[in-house]
Amino acid sequence: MDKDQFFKALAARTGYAGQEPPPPPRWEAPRELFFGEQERLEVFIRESEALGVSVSLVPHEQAAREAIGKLVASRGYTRVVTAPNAGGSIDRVDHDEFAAAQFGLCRADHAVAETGSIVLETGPHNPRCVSLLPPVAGFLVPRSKIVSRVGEVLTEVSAHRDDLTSCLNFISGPSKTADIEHNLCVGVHGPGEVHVWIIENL
Amino acid sequence: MAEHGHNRFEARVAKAVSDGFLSKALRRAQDTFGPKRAAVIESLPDWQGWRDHTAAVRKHTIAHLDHYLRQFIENVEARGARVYLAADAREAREYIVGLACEKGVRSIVKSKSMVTEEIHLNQALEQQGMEVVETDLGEYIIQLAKEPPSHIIAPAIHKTKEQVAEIFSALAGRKLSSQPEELTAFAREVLREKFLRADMGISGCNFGVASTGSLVLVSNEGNARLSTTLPRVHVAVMGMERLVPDLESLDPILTVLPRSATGQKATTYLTVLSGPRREGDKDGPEELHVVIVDNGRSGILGTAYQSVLQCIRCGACLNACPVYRQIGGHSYGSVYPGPIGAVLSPLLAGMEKHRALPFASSLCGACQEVCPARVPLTDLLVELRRDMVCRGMSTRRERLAFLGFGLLAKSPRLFGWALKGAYRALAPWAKNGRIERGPGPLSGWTQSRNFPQPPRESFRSWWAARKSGPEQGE
Repeated sequence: MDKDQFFKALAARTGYAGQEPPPPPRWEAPRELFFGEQERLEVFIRESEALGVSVSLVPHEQAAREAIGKLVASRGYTRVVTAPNAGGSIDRVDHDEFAAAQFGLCRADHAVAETGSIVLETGPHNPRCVSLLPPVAGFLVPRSKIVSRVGEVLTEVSAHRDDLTSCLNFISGPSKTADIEHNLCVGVHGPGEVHVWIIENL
Repeated sequence: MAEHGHNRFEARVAKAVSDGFLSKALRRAQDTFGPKRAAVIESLPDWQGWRDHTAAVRKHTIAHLDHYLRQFIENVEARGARVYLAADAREAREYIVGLACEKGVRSIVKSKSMVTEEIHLNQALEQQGMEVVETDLGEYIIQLAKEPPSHIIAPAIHKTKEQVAEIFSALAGRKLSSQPEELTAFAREVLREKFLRADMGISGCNFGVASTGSLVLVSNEGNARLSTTLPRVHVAVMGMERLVPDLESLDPILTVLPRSATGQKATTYLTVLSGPRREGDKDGPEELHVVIVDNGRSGILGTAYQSVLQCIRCGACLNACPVYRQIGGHSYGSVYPGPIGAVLSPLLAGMEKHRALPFASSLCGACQEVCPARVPLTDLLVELRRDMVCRGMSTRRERLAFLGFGLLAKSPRLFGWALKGAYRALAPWAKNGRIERGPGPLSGWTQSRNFPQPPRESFRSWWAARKSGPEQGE
């Protein structure tokens, strides 16, 4: 189609032809939805657990690594993929290799208390497939990165929109479906098991 | 023909209401979604405020759609993606099929998208010998069953687990149990292989962000992430009204959408894609194409129906609708069922084709009451009815009936006679004050319920007698 024609016709229909719109409507979320520092942590843990996520609170990163080491050893995992932002090194992503991995570990860039969400600004330091292809996903969450609401992350990301990653992900619990007679089944396409280690001193 | 379309609607409804499985499934769906939604919005402070803000954002975007669409296209292109603006379904299909041929695509994975259903994309791709696989579990089930979706967000709610087991067993070549976990695990295994081998991923787009050129996708299963990450080419297809001005504007929408749709505070995955894979990225598609579909939408702008474009496709109106509960999604004969479909389908695909839909509503207002984007669905249904009658699209029988009623209602004397006459005329069919099988036009009503016999003495004559009685006594 002829784009110019199309937009001319469209502008005639909206009745605002050639006019710059006023700023989009803004609204303050109710104050009850914003938590203090301690409460944010508690709500995040509660909401994550309600989604079926296993949450551990650890004092420092070293303790998280030890806990992860234990999990990997106790499960007998031999194929683990770790994102560069969680101390791993990945030269290239081979889809088949990642799909065969048993566990994927990466670091969260933000976390949202209200919805128990992990936020990943995926990119070179954290490829998309790490948190997507293995059946078990692990996330390191610095305690200071937990905010109350999704809107705060959006505002933060928007403030740095020139650096916006090609893929921003909010992940809330394990992959799930209820498409067969409303029975909840986890792990339908993404990871069916999610572990979170909240690092207190970060 | 209009009459023909109407009859087909009635035939579909008759089939649906006599299907016991379907009735059970529909009741279960509404009785599951309804209370879950109610509980989750109960726990959110100021639900009505969130609705107001969602409606305000959508209304603002639609009112300035030309501006935001232009901005969106510029920003998507600036991020290295290609944009194609399709005037109608045919243009959209031809572009995508042409692209797939040009790229030598053989297998395609799709994540759930209503607009690709609207433009009948799958058939067009399959005609070129390409394999097209729906990857949302519900969509996959109905694709294998060769049926259209029956619900916007739960496309296979009309299927029982035994039916799914049968469908999957045929594919597996072995007998699968009807355990939902086992069936889901089987689907994961089959579809994972498809994801890994596909050359192209096709997704919808819940929202496009004008100021950043981003595509927002929500899903619970993770198939949207896989479809937009693994194949080398990603094609996103979106209705041209599905925009928001900026990332901040998503806040109220993302707050109301999952709560209204499935009663969740958030879907498992919320993905914001901005352009294809970048330098340094180790995965993600090499190419991103965004196909923006008009297909009748711009014709709705600037009319009395503009507010229908505020819809965020949550499906809450379907879950609240007493008519949908009885007749299910397929009866609507359109990609978009339920109250939103009854408004949208005639506007997008033509009033003649879907002339029965605006009348398939009791106008109870439940849809309007739950809509998180405050689309005035009931008002729009009434407006459509008026529009259709003004265009002479009512049936002859209906026109005669209203002509007759108009004559009677204009004359008190004729009206009184008619009331008296009704008692006598219907007396032969009445038993104990009830008519169980009425004659002529009444038979439609008495098919499913009794009709009260008109009383011997009408209210009007009783009132007149009563009024004169006490006054005389005073």
